[in-house]
Amino acid sequence: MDLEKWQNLSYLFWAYVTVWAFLAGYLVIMTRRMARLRREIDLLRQEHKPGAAD
Amino acid sequence: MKSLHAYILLGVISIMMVGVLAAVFGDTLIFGFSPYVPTESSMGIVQRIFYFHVPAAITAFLAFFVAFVASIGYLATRRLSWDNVARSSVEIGVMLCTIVIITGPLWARPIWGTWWPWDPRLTTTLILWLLYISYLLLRTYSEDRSQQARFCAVLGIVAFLDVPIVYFSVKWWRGIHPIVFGSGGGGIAPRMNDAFLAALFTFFLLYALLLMLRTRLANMEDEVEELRAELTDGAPH
Repeated sequence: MDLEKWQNLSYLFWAYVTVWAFLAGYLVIMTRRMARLRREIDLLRQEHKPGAAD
Repeated sequence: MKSLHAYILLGVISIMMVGVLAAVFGDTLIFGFSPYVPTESSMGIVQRIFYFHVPAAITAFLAFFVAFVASIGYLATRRLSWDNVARSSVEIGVMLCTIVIITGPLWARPIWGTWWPWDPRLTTTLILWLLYISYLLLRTYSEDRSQQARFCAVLGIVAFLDVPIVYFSVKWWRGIHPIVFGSGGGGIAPRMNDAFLAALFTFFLLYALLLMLRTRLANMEDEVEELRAELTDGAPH
């Protein structure tokens, strides 16, 4: 194996980590926010129903 | 809940497609160590940052272009659905631009010997990132939804003017950032080009998925605000 070619592998590693961390993190945050909003919408709709307590 | 399941399914399909593409073209996005794609002779293994640094930059430009079109759409029609597309696209574009700004210095350090050389391409990209960060911050300064959308639509159009400046900066001002594609570009080996196109396609696919999810989220936020307003007014439909 040509060792010179494998130099600076740590930079490549951290670049990969950055990409995957950002993408995964963004997706997780978004799906959590979506689940929270869905619960809130359901709750608000229930309050809207005729006969629901004030 | 059905639509959420559909999005999750779409996400799984997208990830599977990434896997298939990676298997065919050389694990570009996953490992970057495939024998299919040759290692660049002078820079070595670190050059493989190219396969996600450049596609992330191109996809960020696409995201800002979509925001630019949606901003014009909002100003022309005053429909909030256009604003939701614009703000969603800007948010994804900022995320991708952040990836570009972080991976660039990680590539520059071993090759140029410095993290950040204030080259024209790097400087204009940083300005672009700051412009869109201010776009996201502007949203928090106004309570009035239509005023917020109007101000941001104007900024979304003005900020996009920096995108061609970023693109042409390497030609207008002499810097050290390399030109790979287009006139005066060095070009890349055919196998490297295959890996690059696979990575670019994957980023476009991810962008489409994220834009769908984020726009849906923005529409839900509006729905919550409408329901709250109706409850406060005491006028349920």
